[in-house]
Amino acid sequence: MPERMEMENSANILNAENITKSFPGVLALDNVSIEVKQGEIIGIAGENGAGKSTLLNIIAGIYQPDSGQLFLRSKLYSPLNYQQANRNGVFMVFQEQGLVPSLYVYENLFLANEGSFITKGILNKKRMIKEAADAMESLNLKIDPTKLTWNYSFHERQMIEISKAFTLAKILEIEMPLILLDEPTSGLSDAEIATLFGKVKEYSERASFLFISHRLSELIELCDRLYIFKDGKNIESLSTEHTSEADIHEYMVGRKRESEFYREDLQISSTGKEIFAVNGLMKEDAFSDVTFGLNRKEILGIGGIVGCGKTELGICLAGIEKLDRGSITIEGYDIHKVTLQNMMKRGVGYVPGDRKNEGIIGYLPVNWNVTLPSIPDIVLNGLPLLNIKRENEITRTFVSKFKIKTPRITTMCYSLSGGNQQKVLMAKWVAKNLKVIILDNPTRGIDVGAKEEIYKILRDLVEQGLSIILITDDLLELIGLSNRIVIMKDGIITNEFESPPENKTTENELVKYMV
Amino acid sequence: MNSIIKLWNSFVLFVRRKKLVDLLPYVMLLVLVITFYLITPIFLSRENILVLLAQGMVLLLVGTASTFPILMGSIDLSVAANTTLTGIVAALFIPNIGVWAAVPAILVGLGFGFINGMVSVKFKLPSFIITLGTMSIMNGTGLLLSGGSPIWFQNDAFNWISKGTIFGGLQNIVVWSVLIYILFSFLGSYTRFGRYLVAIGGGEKIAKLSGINVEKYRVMAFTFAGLLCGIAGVLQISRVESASPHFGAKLLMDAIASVVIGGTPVSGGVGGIHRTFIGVLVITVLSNGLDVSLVHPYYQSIIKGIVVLSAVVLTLDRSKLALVK
Amino acid sequence: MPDKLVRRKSLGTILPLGFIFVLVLFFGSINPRFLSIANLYNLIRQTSVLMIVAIGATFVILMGSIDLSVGSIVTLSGIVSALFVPRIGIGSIFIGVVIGGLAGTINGLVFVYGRVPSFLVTLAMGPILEGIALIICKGSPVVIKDMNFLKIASGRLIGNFPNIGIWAILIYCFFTFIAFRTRYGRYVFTIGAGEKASQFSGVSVKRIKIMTYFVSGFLSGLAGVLFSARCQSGTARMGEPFILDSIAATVVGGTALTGGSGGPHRTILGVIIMGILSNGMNLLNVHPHVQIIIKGVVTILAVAATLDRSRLEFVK
Repeated sequence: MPERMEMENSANILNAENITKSFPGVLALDNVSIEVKQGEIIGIAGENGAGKSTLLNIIAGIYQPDSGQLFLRSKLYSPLNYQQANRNGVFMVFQEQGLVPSLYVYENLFLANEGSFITKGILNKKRMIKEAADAMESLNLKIDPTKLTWNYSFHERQMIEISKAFTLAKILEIEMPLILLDEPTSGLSDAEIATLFGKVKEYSERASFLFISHRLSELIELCDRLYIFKDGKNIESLSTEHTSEADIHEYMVGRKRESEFYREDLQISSTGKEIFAVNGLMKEDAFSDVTFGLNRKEILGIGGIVGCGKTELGICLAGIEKLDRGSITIEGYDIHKVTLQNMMKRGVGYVPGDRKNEGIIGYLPVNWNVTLPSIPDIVLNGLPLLNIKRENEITRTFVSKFKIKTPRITTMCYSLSGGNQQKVLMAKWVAKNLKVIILDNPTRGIDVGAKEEIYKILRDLVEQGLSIILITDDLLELIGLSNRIVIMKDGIITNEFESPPENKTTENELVKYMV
Repeated sequence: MNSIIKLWNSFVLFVRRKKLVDLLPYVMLLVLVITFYLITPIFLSRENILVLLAQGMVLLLVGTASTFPILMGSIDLSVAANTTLTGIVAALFIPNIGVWAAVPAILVGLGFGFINGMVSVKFKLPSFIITLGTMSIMNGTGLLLSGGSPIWFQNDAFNWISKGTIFGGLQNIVVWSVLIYILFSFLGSYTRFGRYLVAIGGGEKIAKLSGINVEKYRVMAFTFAGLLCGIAGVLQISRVESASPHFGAKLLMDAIASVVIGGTPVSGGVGGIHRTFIGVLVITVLSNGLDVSLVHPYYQSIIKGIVVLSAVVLTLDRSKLALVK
Repeated sequence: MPDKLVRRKSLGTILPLGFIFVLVLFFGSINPRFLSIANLYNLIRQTSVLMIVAIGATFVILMGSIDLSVGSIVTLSGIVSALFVPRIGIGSIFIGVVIGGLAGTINGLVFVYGRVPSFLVTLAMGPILEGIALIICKGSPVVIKDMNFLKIASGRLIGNFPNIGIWAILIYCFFTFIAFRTRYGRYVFTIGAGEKASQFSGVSVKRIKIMTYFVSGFLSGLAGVLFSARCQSGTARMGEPFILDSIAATVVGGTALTGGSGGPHRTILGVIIMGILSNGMNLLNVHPHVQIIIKGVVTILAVAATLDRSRLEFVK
């Protein structure tokens, strides 16, 4: 942990001390302290959920910390909202883009800060445009402030957001703003990333940057110093001069994997009979040339960093979005039209990663959720009527089998904990008697106890004959659960290997193939 | 069936991508003018053009009124009822205070607009249901006050408001309406108010984050809408020398149509008040043309309804509506 | 959380029932005629048509959408069926229902494939259908003289109970059954409560949406026929009051505008409340125009009380 800095050290623009923040059920930041010096480019590395975004949001005033303090230029800094952060010279480039696409660029630049351009309530558009043009020029950007923002690409709009930070800083008379970038490179091509980095380096004389990325080579290339977050804690601070990616890996991962947690004792070898095969799958801008097979009673893990294409692959395998090319075969039968309903009919189910919006319907009771995909199968005496008795039977079976904690089977799902909601989500698909289930991050945001129960459930299901495709960002989970692992990078499969209980690999090994 | 849908989809996308959307109103206008002229040359006669202008002025104001909430992503279904009611209120005051009857009338319009805004912000209800309710309330009030039938009045001073001629030949109604339109158009383009409405409609999350007081602007938008409807009501009854509780029947659809055809999609966040003018022109030409061509009024509403739906389908910004409810 | 839920659910039933009780006491004490059986039958006659329209509206609202064209469908169906009565007598019911179903289906198709928000589609369809109705009847009311036909509404099959009430009750029971015992009904709920999740669970969202507008149109069509029988004529704009009333009845009954909760079984409470309000106000000689105003206020208040704001990120 870095030493506590002296308050009088004026070379520091930002000091975060002992910041703790939790959300319902999750401790996002645990006593985190970092510092940023004037003109530095600081990077924060760490896996998903390590707390990086949360810290940035706190510095930007969007969240407030539960405890801890922030100091900006050695003065106590506690912004209650984003505007207060702005007034102190802190700006953020948002992952979801903080611009209104239908406004002109110059309008976005000065949004909510037009004060200096107003005389008697009237906006001096000419001056605004000129200021905007000047700003673009001084930043060496070829962006026309009189064009509508949606004309510009994602990458260009990022640059506009950065220039917004500088222009506002100028209006607010802040000398050296602090600019926060939250995963700016996801969604950019290599060329665009190079441009972005060039610009950031160019601007580092006029601003300090705090930048989150999970792409380690980028961090080394761009940043002066690096913090590594893990499980909500700041575990290491490194200077990037003599650091290699391997060093960072070691800090980032290197956790002891507990084989009992993933019930590796229950891992069985598959029967070898291929039940699901894909060949040459391609989706533009997502993945290409994906070929693999899945055996009965096998758990095939698919891993890769965020943006490698595995999520899109899952969605396409489910039939939710269309493939541009390739074929899917189930038990030797070639699927002609890959649609959600066809795949369901053929015995393939998909448990989405976005539990709240795409998985569970919070405003419906547990039993209605559990039976939703199965309704066409549970008919009443051959009529297209609901078989309520059977529905409730099925629900009760799963509530007990999966140990779902709910007061009644008619309780609304929103009142269940995250872990129990996930169990309901899984029960939903298991109830349908499928052959293959595709899971996307099944234990995201769930407490350890519930995770354990879910892993046991998965093992039992496989034992009873189910095959699973496990798409996950959780490396330990990937290693612990899978019989075989496939790694994707930039849309293609880079590696495939066995993962038997006696010879499980380590996270470090995996990460090598992922980056 | 699927291939028909695919064809239609690509046509719609083509129109949207090529920004033909912006040209749409002008194309429509041209097509309509030519069509109606071919049907009957009277259409482009001096008398008819003057009539057309006068007819369109009320719609100009009500259309502009509708634009404010729509820019924000909301809707005001009560604009027609508002216009009708203010006309009736004015008519009732004329015997007592003559031309000054315009004042209480406009205040009523403004008041209801303010109520729409406040209920929206305080109760946090979807605007379509609030304005559906206030539309009913205003319709009922109008019927009540007028006893269900038109109120006739004789007041030269009041009539002068619309029918007088400050600039020889051109009726006052045109002068007032155009001036007010220009004023509000200017407001829309050159003040923070106008810009923030678009920002709220186009990215409410960002607007809020940037510190824009969304609630304040919401109330302002509805209040201005009410104000303009009030003025429209006064001008309308001044023009026809009577106030009818059934006047506004077609006005709502015409107003929304003008806004959408003008280029402000119903989802908001794009366009502006200055665009409504061309939309009003298109609808007015359509109405007037159908009249002059002796098309029965019953057919007119059908034609207009289809025109509106087509315009909406072509201009709606799909990408913004993940779920159409 | 569970407490909040329990409170909300029982509030949802107690509130309307309590309100009915209060209204009955209020009007009954002012004018004892209110409590007579004759007036009860009056009430049934007055509310049956609304009941039928409101059930259709409930399905649409359950799904998270709205139908502003119900009034025009009632009008169109009422006028056209009235025209056919001299030729095919009671068979006109079939005509009205077909017209309603067709109009509803068009609503659904434009909504789903044109991706136009439901309020706008149905708002635009209203005048279109009214226009067609006006053209067909040439602006004048179509009077019905066929006694057999009129009896479907005004006759009394069972004792003194009005026939039109039998229609309403049958529709109520049938469609409540559909909502809770059929796949279609279940899907309506799930789409209203979570459209994306429903889609990802294999529900044919598009098909259900179109189907629901068909149902709403169908019921409005039936209501139109019965209404013209009751009024003994088909007139322009006869269906107008039903637009707001059907929504009000649905929401007051306890089905939230946000969709996914409530159901047609609750709409009867809303219909009764709206009916008692009208009936009572009539007996008190409250001006019909004032009644319109009051209904507008009631609608807004009912929505304000039942809207689940946690489900709307940005209220527009």
